[in-house]
Amino acid sequence: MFILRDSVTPWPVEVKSVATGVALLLVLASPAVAQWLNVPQATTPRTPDGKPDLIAPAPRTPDGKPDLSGIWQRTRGVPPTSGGADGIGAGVEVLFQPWAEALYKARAENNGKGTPSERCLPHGITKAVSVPEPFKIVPTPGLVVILHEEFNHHRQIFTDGRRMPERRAPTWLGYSRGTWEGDTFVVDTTGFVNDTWLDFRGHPATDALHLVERYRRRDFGHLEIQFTIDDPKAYRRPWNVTMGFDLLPDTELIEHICENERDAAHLVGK
Amino acid sequence: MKSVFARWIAGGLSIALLMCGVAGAQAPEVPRRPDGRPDLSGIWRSTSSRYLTDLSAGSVQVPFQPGAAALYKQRLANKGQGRPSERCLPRGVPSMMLARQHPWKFVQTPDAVIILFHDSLHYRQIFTDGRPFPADPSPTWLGYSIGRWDGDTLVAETIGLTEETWLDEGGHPHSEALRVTERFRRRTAGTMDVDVTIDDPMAYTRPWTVTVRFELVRNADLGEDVCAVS
Repeated sequence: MFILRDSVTPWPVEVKSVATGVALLLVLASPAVAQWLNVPQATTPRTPDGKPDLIAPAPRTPDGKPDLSGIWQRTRGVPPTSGGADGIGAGVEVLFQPWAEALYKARAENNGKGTPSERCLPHGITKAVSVPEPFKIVPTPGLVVILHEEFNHHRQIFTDGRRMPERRAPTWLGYSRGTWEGDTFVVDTTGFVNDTWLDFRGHPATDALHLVERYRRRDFGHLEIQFTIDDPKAYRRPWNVTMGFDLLPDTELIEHICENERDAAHLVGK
Repeated sequence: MKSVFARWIAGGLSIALLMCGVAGAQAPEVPRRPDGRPDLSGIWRSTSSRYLTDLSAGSVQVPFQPGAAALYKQRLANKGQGRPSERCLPRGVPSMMLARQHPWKFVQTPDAVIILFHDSLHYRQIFTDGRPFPADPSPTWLGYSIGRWDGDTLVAETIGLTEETWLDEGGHPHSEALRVTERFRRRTAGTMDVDVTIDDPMAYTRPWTVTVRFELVRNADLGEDVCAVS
């Protein structure tokens, strides 16, 4: 049981150690360190010396809502994966159902071996943003697209007011619908396959998972997402995790494809 | 290796397609965006899988260089064994676009056209913000694409494709000198023609072009088809 502070924790929540070997391998495997694409954007606010002004006010779309556009990367200085002690649950009270706790403990003891991404399967939502590779948010009328550098996977968040389809095959990323509550973009997702992993450590999730994300762009350079994990099959009550993200200005995503045997760095726990 | 959920998704998709039909019969006007450009948004799929099997589709004499001819012959003899899609790797450009069972969705923004694939949740970005190609792009599975408008035609050029991709499942090869040009023309509300030009002097003696027709898939979800390594 992980009872630390309250369940809504300000970033950073993950301050515990991560297996250094895994971290090093991930860094070495990341194509982001191999090259850097310089793509200056006219929309980037600048300080007098010409550098991106990361604390300038958050931009807004023509309808007055915060514009979440940009390439985002998990705040530097925190463990590069969610595979550290307690995973994304670090610093959060997580009340497991008994079977889920047993499963989580077994996975954690095994350093998360067997995680679906070992077979190049999608990470799931919370795990996908916890990796060092950035993601790009592209808001469009009626649809917000998220492009993940890692595995070159995309995600759609519908903002056109549609309902959850009645008949739909479950998916790794579920079915997401977004609305605005003031300046916060709120995303509801259900329709997941059974047994996605919430993090590299192995917090389980079932097909009963209802994930709520609350996106807040604090200023030009900083985004915060609060995740509420509501999965009564696996947890006795919903729990919250907040992650911070830094804008990577004037650049572009670099393709990263899961190449199976060549991508051994992603095979944690071996 | 196996395609997880492929059957569920494909089943759901074919039901959706049967119920909703494929547009194009009445040819209503091509929708346009506020800036007057044609709106290419929507879910599209190839009208025929023959281009995926053989990009030339028997309609064009492929001007092979000798080395490329030999490699293609060998791949044909091996029945396409060793193609990247066997290992859950992306098919590359243009073959990623050609699988009839894998529709894709055009998302048009002022700065880029984003293509979201049913196949493996992958995506491509075609930048239309006027940026140049990177000076020395590292070869990737889907390359680096920039686009511009030529009248009502979106012209996308792609370079930086790893020679590990095949132009089709039959195995037309290419080198890293490959430049693919795709000319997207939405002819009617329900149909889009794409002229695909293969320009790779290392593999072919001159550029060659095929036109692939795509049809709009209405009222269907893109869905998610993931490929698992076992």
